[in-house]
Order: sequence, then C-alpha cells, then structure tokens
Amino acid sequence: MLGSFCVVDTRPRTWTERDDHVLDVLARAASSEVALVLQESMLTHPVQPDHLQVAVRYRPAASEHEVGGDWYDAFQQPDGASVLVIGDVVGHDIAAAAAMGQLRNLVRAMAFGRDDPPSRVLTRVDEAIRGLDVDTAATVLVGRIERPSGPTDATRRLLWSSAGHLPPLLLLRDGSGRPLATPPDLLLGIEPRTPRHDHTVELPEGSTVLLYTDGLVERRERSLLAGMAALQQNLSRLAGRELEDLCDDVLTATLPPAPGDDVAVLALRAHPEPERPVEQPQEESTA
Amino acid sequence: MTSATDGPAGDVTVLFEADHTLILLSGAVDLAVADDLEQAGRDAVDAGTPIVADVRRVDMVDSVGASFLVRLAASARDGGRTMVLRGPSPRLDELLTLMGAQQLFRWQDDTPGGQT
Repeated sequence: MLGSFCVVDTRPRTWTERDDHVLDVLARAASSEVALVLQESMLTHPVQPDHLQVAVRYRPAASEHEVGGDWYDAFQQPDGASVLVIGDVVGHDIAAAAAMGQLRNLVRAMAFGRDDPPSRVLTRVDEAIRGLDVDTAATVLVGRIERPSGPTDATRRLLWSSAGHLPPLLLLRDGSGRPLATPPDLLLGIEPRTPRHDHTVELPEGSTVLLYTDGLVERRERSLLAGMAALQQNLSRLAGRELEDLCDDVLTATLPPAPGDDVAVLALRAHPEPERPVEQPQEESTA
Repeated sequence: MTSATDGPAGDVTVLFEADHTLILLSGAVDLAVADDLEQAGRDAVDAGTPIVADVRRVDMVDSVGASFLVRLAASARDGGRTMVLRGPSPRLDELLTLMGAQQLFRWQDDTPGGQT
C-alpha cells in the first residue's frame, strides 16, 4: 500500500453502489497518476557522447491502469565509454514502477566506474536483487560502446549482455539489418548464479541499433518473433532518417492506435568521424 | 499488454493429486490473475509434490504469467524437482525461450518446438 483515499461527507448519508464505484475509479486514477509521475521521473535525458547519438522514447499504455516498469538509460563512464541500458520489470502497476526505479539505480551503481563487461554487471545486479531482497523479476540488456584498439580507433563495437531481453535490432545505412539474436540468458531476479554471456558486433559508420521493450512487438494475434520481423521491416524503410525522426516514425508505424502496454525505446547511431586525426604508429617498423 | 476485454479472461485452478500438484491455467494469463497465480504458487510449493502446469488452454500470456512459471520452476529446482509443463503452448514456449528460462522446464507434449 502506498497511500490511502478517504472521502467524508459533512452530513450522515448512505453510500450507494454507484458512489462506491465512482470513488473506486477516482482512487485508481490517482494511483496510476502517481505511478506515471514516478515512472517518468526515472527517465532522464541520455548522454550524447562524441560521434554517437542516442535518442529515447517512452510511451505509456493507452489504459491508465497499465502503468509499466519499462525503462531506458544511457550514461558515460569516467573514461568516456558509453553505457546503454534497456529494461522491463515484470508487472504493470505502481509496484513495478517502483521496482524499476530500484533496478535502474542498481544497474547504474554496478556499472559506473568499473571496467566489468556487461555480463558481470548483470550478475552483480542479480546478486544484489537476491541479497537485498528486492522482490522483482526483470529482463534487462546492458551494452557498452567500445573502441577495440583504444580511444583513437575509428571502429566502434557494441559489447552487450542480455538477461532474457528481446534482441536489439541492427540497421545499416543501406537499410539492411538484422536482429542481434543470441542464445538467451535468464532474466534477472530468478537465479543469481546463472551463467551470463557477452556478445559483440561491429558498428559501421551510419549504423543504428534499436533497443526496445516488448510492448513494441507484442500483439495478441501474432508471435513475438513475427512482431520483431515486422519491426525490422519498418526500420529498414526508415534507413537514412535522422535518428529522432526515426524514433517517432518507427513508433507510429509499429504501434497500434491504443497500445495495451507501455514501450521504452533507445536508438543509437554511430556517426562518421571525419575530424578524428589519424594517428601515426609510435614505432615504425624499419626491419 | 493485454486486458480481459479482448479475449477470454484468465483462470487459475490448483488440483492436489496423489503424486503431484496440477496447476490449470487458461485464457489470458497476465496481471489480471496475478494474485491468483501467487496463491497457486504458494499452495503448490507447500504441497511439496512435483508440480505440473497444464498450459494447453492458455491463449495469451505476458511477462507476469511467464515469470510466475519461471519463479515456480526455480523454486522447484532448488527443492530438487523439475517442473513439468503440459503443452503445447507455442506462445508460452516462445516467451520462456526469449527469457532464457527454457532449461528450467520439461515440456510434456508431442508438438514440434515442444521439448521432450
């Protein structure tokens, strides 16, 4: 219980069934409003690191009774590396929204200032969920943008680990792309000793990665895999679109008019780096 | 995700058989039946016998329904038992697979995609 709702009349009266109903509706509206405010307060503006662009969207469900526990997050490490997160707490109520706030901060705390790969971050979050008795389960994906040969390397690589979350979609500049599907590791909140794995993909210049929650692809009449295929198709039609526009357009194209679930989306684009000077190797081979 | 208005509402029934506990799930297994799921889970764990969930009549399941089964399966495994799902339910199979939880279950059905 997070609050109470008390109605008093100045004179003695009988409460009819209809009165009860009206009060019930009012109480529900007040509680989902609280949940939505809580939810939105967690969704901060993403970082915009050099030559990477991050765009985010959050769409609540059409029904005000369905407040979700979806979140996105993007922040920078002290060394400048970017960390990207998308997650979905099981449930659609104020408890899920509150658990989302806890999990978001746990991920930040476990990831910040450390060199750990995303799989290790997720394991530590899972251990904290168990050790701190956070009563929740969630699918979470943590990614890190790396330069394989150090800060001057123009090649960028996404290193990620997924705790039962839907695979990211990759979109190349020419409109081709694919889901970054990997053998799934277990969602968080079940078994902290479960093995976790990292995966990598190189991000060519102009490529886009879309992280999203299930509300974007889930429909009663079709499978999740079919939903992901439809999303990939919509994405490929939007290749070349500016990233913020792409986010709006892909949501419009993919979501039904009155979405039954909330949706969080994080899109990342690897822009070209024309200004970056090409460094000469320190030691020329003269042999 | 879904609501009871666009399909059959969910139902959760627990039957205590001699050698196992049977959880019958049907309709939309989602947030609307979350309390029933929780109670069924407690009853099934208390019974201490192997747990079988019959999911053949489930026509919609969301992360609330799926994670209920995952938690139940994890606690069954901690007690040295394997949870059995009586299928088929392609929808649930897909969701459990994406959640990385497939190895916690044994499917008892004869459809392609269902495990033995």
